[in-house]
Amino acid sequence: MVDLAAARELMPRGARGNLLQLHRDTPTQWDAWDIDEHYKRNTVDLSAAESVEVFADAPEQVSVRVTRTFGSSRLVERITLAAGSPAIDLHLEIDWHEKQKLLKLAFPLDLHADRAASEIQFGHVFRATHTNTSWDAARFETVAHRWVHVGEPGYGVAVANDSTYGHDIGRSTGPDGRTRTTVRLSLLRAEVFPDPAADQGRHELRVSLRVGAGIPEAVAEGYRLNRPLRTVDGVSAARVEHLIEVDNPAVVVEAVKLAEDRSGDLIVRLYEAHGSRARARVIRHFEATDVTETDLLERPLAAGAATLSADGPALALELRPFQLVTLRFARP
Amino acid sequence: MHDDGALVEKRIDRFVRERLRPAVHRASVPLRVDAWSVTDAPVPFSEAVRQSYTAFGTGRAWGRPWGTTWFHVTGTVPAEWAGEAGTRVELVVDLGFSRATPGFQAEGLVWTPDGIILKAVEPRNRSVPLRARPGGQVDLYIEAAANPDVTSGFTFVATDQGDPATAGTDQIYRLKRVDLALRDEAVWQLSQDFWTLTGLMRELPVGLARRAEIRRALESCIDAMDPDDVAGTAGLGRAALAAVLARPANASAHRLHAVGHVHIDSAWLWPVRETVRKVARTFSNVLSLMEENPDFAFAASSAQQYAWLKEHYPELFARVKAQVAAGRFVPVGGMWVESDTNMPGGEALARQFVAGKRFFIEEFGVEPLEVWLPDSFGYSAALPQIMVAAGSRWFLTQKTSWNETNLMPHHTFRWEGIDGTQIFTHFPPVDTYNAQLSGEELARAERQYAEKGAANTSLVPFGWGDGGGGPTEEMIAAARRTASLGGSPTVELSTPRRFFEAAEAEYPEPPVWSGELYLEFHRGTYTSQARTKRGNCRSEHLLREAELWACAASVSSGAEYPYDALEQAWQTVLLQQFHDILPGSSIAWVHQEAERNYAAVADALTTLIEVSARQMCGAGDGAVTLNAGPYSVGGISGLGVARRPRRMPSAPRRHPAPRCAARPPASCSTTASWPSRSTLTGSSPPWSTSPRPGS
Repeated sequence: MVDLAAARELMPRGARGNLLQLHRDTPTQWDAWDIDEHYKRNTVDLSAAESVEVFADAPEQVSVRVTRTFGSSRLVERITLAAGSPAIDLHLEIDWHEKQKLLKLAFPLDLHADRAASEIQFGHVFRATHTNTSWDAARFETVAHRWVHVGEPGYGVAVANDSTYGHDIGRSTGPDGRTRTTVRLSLLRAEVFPDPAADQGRHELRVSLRVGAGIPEAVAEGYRLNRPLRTVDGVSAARVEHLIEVDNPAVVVEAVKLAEDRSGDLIVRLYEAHGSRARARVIRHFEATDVTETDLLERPLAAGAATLSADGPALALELRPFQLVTLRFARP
Repeated sequence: MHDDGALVEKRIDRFVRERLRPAVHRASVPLRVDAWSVTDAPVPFSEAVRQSYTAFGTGRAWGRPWGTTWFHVTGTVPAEWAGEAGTRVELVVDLGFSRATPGFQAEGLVWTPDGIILKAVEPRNRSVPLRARPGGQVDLYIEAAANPDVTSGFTFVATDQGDPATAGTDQIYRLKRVDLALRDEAVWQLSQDFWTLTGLMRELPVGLARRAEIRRALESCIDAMDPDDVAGTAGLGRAALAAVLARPANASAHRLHAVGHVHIDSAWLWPVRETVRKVARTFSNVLSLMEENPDFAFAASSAQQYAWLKEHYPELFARVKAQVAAGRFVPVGGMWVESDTNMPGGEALARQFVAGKRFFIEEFGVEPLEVWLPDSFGYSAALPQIMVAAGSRWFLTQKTSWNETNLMPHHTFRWEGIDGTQIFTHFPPVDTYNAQLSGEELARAERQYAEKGAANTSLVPFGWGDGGGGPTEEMIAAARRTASLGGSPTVELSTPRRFFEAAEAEYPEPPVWSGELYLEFHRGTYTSQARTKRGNCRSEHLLREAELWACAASVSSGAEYPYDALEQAWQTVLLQQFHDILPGSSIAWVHQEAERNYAAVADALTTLIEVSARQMCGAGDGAVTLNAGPYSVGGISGLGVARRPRRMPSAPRRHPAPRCAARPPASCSTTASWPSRSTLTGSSPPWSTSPRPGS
């Protein structure tokens, strides 16, 4: 897999990307709760395909459909690349009938990374990809929200998804002596306690591999996959609305809502998503008589920490890394 | 002197087992029992009381899994109990309790014929004090829940009992005892003396004089008493123990703030509907205990659980409300439920606090400042900022003590999140949220407490959790005896707030832990029950969309903002984020219900979004594309609306997609498209490529 824009091979030599792996998953105790480290010792690579067919072949996108059967399960994966797109979209439909198995989706990457970023609430955390200390080693399975990111300075890859939270990200040395970084998503389990039929049946999820990504692109990829465009018919397209604009992609509007006290005031919650200090202008397109910074309960803060200046509909803010800001616009 | 210590300690155990405990009740008489059974969902008292009951005796089997049997119990308090001084009349019930942990088996709630809840009965809390006098009539109803033991002693054996469709119909309990009993107060007090003293004795080093002193006192007590007349000689026994009980604590003894507490999982090895009843049972116990113990305070979290009480048990809720006003019933946490904190998105975690605190402020006029998450499976590094932004000051958990590999170095510290926000945090070193205030627990708290030398105060939450019934009078008795007791940490009945204020004052510069509190355990919970995970993910994003477009409709066209519908959707989603639902660690029943809930939320929100779009755009035969994301996509600016472009990239759909509970209905089409590069480089503002809004 080559990133033409960066002239870079993404896959380590001899490695398979988008590899489905089936592990024995028999926790020592607390079945639904635990994935134990010993799961890694029994792995089956699901590399055989029942069929591979070109599903769409058009200038705007190409799509391949791969069907696999294993155990008592069947998996249909659609792999799509859109024109000009820096990401490969994977759409998986799985009819899952395994017991005590863990299904992982692996992306071995020719990247030398000693840490990985995982999205959490209003930001991200970095975790080591090595196992130097007992604390690092104990993090053999980790949580991430919409995306994870691994990279070298100047070049990285994000893996985003719209359903699961389980990941493991590690590094190893290939036969060629080069370090590689492997990002794996935990897609499905089938534990037997306390629900003996857990996870049986149909599942659907989307995953994307976004190449040439820094943290900003990873953040955007998480939103693209999870908050897709929506088309609504049966409307007169004459009146369109746009409530709020922000001129810095590091400052993300997470919520727009009316106030809990039902006064009609409008609440905008935003946060700094890149882990950097960020200035931004927030421009409103609605009538407001005042704007204040508040706490989460929409009560005014004694001192607004982020506001630099307010000038008509434009509000200038400066946010510290990962800072969360709630704005309350009083409306006439 | 010859060392007979081991023999004496055996003698003490046998005396307690064979003489003391059986003498707590001077007499007892069986009540008449009639029964009526409900096989499906529980019914309210008003319906149960109207049914016709049939004669039922102790020894008979009752209760298919998840069924409810109402026992009508009647009788007369024996007139001859009139002359018995120092006694109390009580109802004693054994529904057929097993050795399984309380909360994971049968439970009962006792009602008067006019529908007032008296108290619950559970395996470790079997009696109900009665006001009936000798010669008086007793007429009560016991609502008995046949909750099966899904745990099999936590051996993790697969069981079909977690799904009512497969749980079977065999009756799983046998009614053992429904008696009126006459409790001897002095014998009961003496047995509490023994429990605390033997518990302390066993924790003290064998070579310590205090251990020997306690042993000799207990031995003298037994010597002084007549084993065939325990009631008649209990006073002598208590006198023999007075001196060892009066020995004050060491000046440097660890200080424990004991807080009455119940940890009730909002769903787990039982469905949500059973949690509603567990809350009522435990809260009724607490109210009963408060009547007898004016200095006893109790803390419980989760606005959702109080909201259930308000909806289903208004009379009980009113009594709780009165005790909240008195400062004795203390809502803590400030969240809607004790949620998972690994997986809920940023806005959802914020809303746990918004919804939770709003409820407590509106219903009780109190705002909990202590975040209370003793049991969630690890704590996100985003939490400190969210907690502080919600106005909270302190954080409590103990779950990190479950780590398989590493021991957390602190019990009291400042926890710093990804943005640098710090919050004063405490891990109770007792390592449980279900303490009984036993000698073993108190000693463990003191031994493990990591801040020794720099600080000396910790919190111990006591009470049987999960429907076990909460704090008991035995636990309060233990707290009184250890208020200042030589060899023991000191125990003060307290509140979370009093603890945190004392701990902060004593330890103004505690150590700092930066970053996540990763739980080295339960790592499967990020993946288990994938449809529940997906349901949460999709619901959170639909909520963002629905609120945004409802705002746009309201601001642009004066449309009514759907406050109630959004609040209902949020509350449903917040409840499913409870730390055994979203993590996927509940029985099948709970997850089936979660999937249905997510499907209903998706339907309701999709409709709301479409209604809002029509309100803001007006009805017509055109189409618009909405971008609820923060970045420009396909030429449509972030948070913007555009006429439907001629060619939107969209994946052709040539085959039917599988059914998926949380998938939006087919009537709305969603497309994942590319953010324009300009938004990411910041070289041009994100709205420059899309039509300007009309306002």
